[in-house]
Amino acid sequence: MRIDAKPEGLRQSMAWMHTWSGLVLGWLLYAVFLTGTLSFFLDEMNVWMKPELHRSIPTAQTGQQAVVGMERLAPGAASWTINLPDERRNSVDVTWRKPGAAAGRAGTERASLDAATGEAIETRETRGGNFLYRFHFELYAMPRIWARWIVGVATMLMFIAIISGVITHKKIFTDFFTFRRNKGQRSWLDAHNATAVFALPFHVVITFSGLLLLMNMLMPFGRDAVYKGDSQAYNAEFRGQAMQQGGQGNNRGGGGGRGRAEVEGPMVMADVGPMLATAAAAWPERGPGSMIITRPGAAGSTIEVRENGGLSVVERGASRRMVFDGQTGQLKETPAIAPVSGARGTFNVMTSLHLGRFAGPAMRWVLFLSGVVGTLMVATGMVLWVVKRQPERRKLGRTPVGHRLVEVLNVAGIAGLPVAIAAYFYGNRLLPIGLVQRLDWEIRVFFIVWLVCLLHAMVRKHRAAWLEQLGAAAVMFLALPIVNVATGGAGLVESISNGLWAIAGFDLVAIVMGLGFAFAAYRTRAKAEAPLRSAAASASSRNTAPCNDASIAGEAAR
Amino acid sequence: MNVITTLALSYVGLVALALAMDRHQNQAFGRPLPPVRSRGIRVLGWVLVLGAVMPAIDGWGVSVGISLWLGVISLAAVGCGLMFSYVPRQAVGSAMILAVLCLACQVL
Repeated sequence: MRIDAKPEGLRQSMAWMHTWSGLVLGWLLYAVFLTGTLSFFLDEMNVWMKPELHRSIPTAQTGQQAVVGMERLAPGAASWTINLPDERRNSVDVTWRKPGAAAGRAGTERASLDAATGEAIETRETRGGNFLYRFHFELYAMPRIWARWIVGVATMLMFIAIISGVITHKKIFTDFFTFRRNKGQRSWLDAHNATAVFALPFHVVITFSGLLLLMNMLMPFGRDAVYKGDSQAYNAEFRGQAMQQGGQGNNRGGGGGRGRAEVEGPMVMADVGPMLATAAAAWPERGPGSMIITRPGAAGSTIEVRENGGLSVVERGASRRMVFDGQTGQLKETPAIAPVSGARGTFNVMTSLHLGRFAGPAMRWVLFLSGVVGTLMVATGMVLWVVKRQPERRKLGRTPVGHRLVEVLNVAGIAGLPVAIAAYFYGNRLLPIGLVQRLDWEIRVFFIVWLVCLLHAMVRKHRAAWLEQLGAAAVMFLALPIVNVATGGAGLVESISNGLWAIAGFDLVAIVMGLGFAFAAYRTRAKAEAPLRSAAASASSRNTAPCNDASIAGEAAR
Repeated sequence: MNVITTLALSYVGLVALALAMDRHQNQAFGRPLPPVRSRGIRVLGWVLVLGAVMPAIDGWGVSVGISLWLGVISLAAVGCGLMFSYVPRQAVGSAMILAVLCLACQVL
């Protein structure tokens, strides 16, 4: 890549590769990383953003109450799916299908039930955490396929940056634990290296599995050649054994009972309490998570109880199942989890780890914290690009347009996005309930605030822009728990005393994030004052060239 | 408490691996250690870090256990790195406390 045609080493060319593959779509990668990391707590965000659900408190009778509630809410449905409360959800989330309903999502109706009474709870119109989750791989308001291509390309660049970064890293072993603080550019490089190297297994898996999840779109050639474009045949074989053994269970009980519910006479359903107790005893690790009731209230009804999450990522986190007779309550069968092939198993390990659906609390926190480390890795890399070019810029005596562009996008991306995410949560709580298109307005609040952050970064000086946006993020996140109590949610005292850890966890993480942004703002401010002080000191001691010193300090402070 | 045990073992192991390096010996003790002791500490570090997989597999099965272990090592490494850059002299002490805590977890 040298214009003077001198030979260059592998490491230098890899450094070039790393710098530019990282920079070009770095802001997008940061956004994907940050919203994706938050999505590990998708259920928790969804609960927090529906404060109407906060009064639902699970009891030992919740399973039976939910069935009673469903008999009132959806009598004569072909099937009910009842997701029981767990450490991530305090309400009962149910879906049901009416006889003859359209296939797939269109024919599915949903509701949330109070875990203590089984009554349906009316919630506000919101997309909840699903907006952030979808944004992390489909962006927003553009054709889904385009967005996935853009994110796919960014992911590929990320993968390139990771590999070239490891090759470029001069002392990956001797500098393994090294972080030299308060050393300017050196510290930024150390921070970038440390966040990258410490969580390297996570970075490699999350990036590569991200590509795997998009593989049929990015590289359809193998599939098209072998299956001659018959994607249905491919999908059937890909799911393979899971389809054969899963039967109606894997269709979420939708197909089997369709249209038959009203044919037979009514029947008294067996109590689900003992079934759940049997399942809880058989699965001490995670306990029962959901029930799928086929042909509820009719002859031939079955109740399938599923474990809450899986025990192996090789099986794609498939959960264990027990099928009971709906009338007698007798255990009919315990279907085995299908064996998986080596290739399928490898794919499962990668994608399950990315999606984290199987994960219990410990694994979920590890994934979330690794995601935070990854987000910081991207952010420090972007800042490093600017810091590294300071001497060059000082020598030049002005700021090149490209540098200024990166500065502005860094502030609006790294500090502005958290401000916009916080604003999204505020919109969720502060917009009037009856507002037309309320759900869209929440998302509009997010984008308007993000745009304001971009404009703010353009008009303000670099360091002032950092300081103000980091400060705004700090204040907004620290105040979120207060807004929660003030707008009808369960406050920290209430949520902790009722054991509602999903809601308490959201508030606590908001406080920790607020403190993190406050610390970043404090450091930015301290750094801004230090060079000015030293410049003033040197200007007063040496009267020869005060203007020169001050202008350098001013430049450094920008 | 398996995850605490895995975290504690990884952390203690990583501190040992760091203490097997000259730079971190200087930070923690103000002087380098003789090579024989460095080698001993390094072996101990590897044994602890690799051994930390056992409680994870015990609690979560092979596939999830190994994934969890790798993730926990990353987080322990962040802690270890911060320790050596901010309070290097307390690094050994912190490892000792966690080692005791880890033993207590197993006994209780």
